[in-house]
Amino acid sequence: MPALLQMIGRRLISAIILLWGVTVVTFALMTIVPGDPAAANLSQQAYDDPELRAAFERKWGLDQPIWVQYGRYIVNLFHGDLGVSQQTHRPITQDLAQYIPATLEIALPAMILAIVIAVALGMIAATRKGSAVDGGIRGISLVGLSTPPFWLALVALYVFFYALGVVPNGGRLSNDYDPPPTITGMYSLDALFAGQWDVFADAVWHLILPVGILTALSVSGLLRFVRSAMIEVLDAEYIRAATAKGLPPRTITWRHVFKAGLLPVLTVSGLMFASLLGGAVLVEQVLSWPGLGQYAYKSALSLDLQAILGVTLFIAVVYTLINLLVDVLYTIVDPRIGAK
Amino acid sequence: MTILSPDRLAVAKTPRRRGFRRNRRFTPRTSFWTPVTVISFGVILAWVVAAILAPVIAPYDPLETSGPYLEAPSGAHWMGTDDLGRDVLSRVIYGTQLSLPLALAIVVFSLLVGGTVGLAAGYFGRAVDNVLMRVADLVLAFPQIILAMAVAAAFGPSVGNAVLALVIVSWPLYARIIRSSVLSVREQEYVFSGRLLGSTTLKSLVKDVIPNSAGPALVMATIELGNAILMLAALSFLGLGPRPPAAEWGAMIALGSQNLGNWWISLFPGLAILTIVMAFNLLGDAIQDYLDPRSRNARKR
Repeated sequence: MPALLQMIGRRLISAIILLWGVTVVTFALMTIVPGDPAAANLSQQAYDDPELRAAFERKWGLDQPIWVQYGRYIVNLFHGDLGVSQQTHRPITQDLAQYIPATLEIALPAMILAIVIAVALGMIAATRKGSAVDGGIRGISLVGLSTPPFWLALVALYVFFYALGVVPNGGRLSNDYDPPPTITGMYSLDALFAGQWDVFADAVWHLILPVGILTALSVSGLLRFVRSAMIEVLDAEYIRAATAKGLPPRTITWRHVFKAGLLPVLTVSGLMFASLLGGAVLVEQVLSWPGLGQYAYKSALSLDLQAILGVTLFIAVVYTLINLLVDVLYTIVDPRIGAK
Repeated sequence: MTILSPDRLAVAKTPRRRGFRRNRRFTPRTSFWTPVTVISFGVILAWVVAAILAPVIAPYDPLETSGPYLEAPSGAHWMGTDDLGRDVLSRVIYGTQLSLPLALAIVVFSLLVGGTVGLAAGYFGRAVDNVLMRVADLVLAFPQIILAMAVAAAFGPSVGNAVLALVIVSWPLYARIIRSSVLSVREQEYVFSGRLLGSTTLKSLVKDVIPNSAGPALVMATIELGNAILMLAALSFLGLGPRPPAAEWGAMIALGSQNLGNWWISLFPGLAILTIVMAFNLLGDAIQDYLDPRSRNARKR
């Protein structure tokens, strides 16, 4: 166990270095590039007025040398202050608190569903390797990997909203409903906590399409890993031994192959969550879902440094935490790794 | 082999239980040309030809109004027209002239940058390796599209900046793969022999290390061609790619998203992306299988 604690300690230190690196890189990037926040945020008329422009730059500290800006940012960061968005004129923390739950509300169910579906399909494909079923499953995965996410979202919106009319046209709630009192920031859960069943139903109804699209996108990526990991296990000596000693196939499948298929899911879950957030940018854009992706997009367009930093820091923290968790779980699931 | 008694022979001949047949040893394919690779190659070739012959085969000018606005697919406009009356088919065909060369540029530049970094990290090891790979990890900690979006927005939307942004987000993949093959190659005896025979570092790198460690990266480059097309389309979908009115597939799909009822505007460019990316993916997988059947599981995204 001390080895495990040591590992966690080491990882936390490298996580802090990584986060520091993120701030440096983002800061450096935003200052060396030609983009001018004043030009992106002020109207042409205001921009042409030197006084207004100077006032804008003074207000956001853009007139200070870059290291002063950076030092200020880091000091504030330690106070839990991520700065103020030039775009929304609200503290970044407040913005994030609003947008992150919206994205988690679609990303978390999508991730869970994707894992369940990918493991199930991967197992079916691996145990029937070379069959038509396997071919079909691989084909679906391939199509998923080759489809532009935004296009898939658009096609789904066309089919299920425009043609069939079974889902709403994007957004988080219908106009008839007010958001439930904020507890988690996820409308569906909050409505549940507040006992507002009609709001809950409406929120879930709005979730169907984005969650479905994100699930479909993640399944195709994950499926490859699960399938190939399971095929590798099926070729292993101990499976041969298990078959030879007459264990029923079902026992082998569930006791050995299933477990082995979960390992790659663990390994890639950090990457997967990152790519889910990436996919969310595009899907949120199509379905006008006011989440982190849209926030990042708008911040990037208006060169809102503080907001971009806030988003990237959040993603880097999540990514690092997931990877840390994965490594800890790994040492528990597979003791050979901890021993090294 | 007469040791097997008839009853044992019978056991040996009964088909193994369904579902466990894959236990048989892997038999490497002798030819690279399977129906799948032929079709994939054909699809890619068809798109390349479309790019080269675009002025000849496209029925209309992709940037000019050539018919009524928002016309559904018809005899005159096989894929319909968009909200400015431009012919969708012509724009899809001309789209190859952007997507294909740009994807190639993204992959080549990423390969050069990532290859150099990976080579340095793998060959020199120690501090060089540590610093370079930490930077690579840093870049990989971001969702590709978010980082690319931030970079492209910061530099201002244009073709060149979209390519630059995508090179910035994708070089670490090549750096990693090159580094790991260099790590194993540099321990080979021929590298030591070369050094002992008086090769300089540069000569050793160029003559011994690079040719023997480039394979996996080149395979990945094939697959990444498809990915580059996808990412480029995503950036232009967000308005961070080629400026309008350029006929770019992602931008065309974005146009269709504002005219949901006119499905043909975004359906066809999407299918174009799907077919060519799928062809690259299939071809990349096939090359990987052919060169090293056991590496199939190693590919990480």
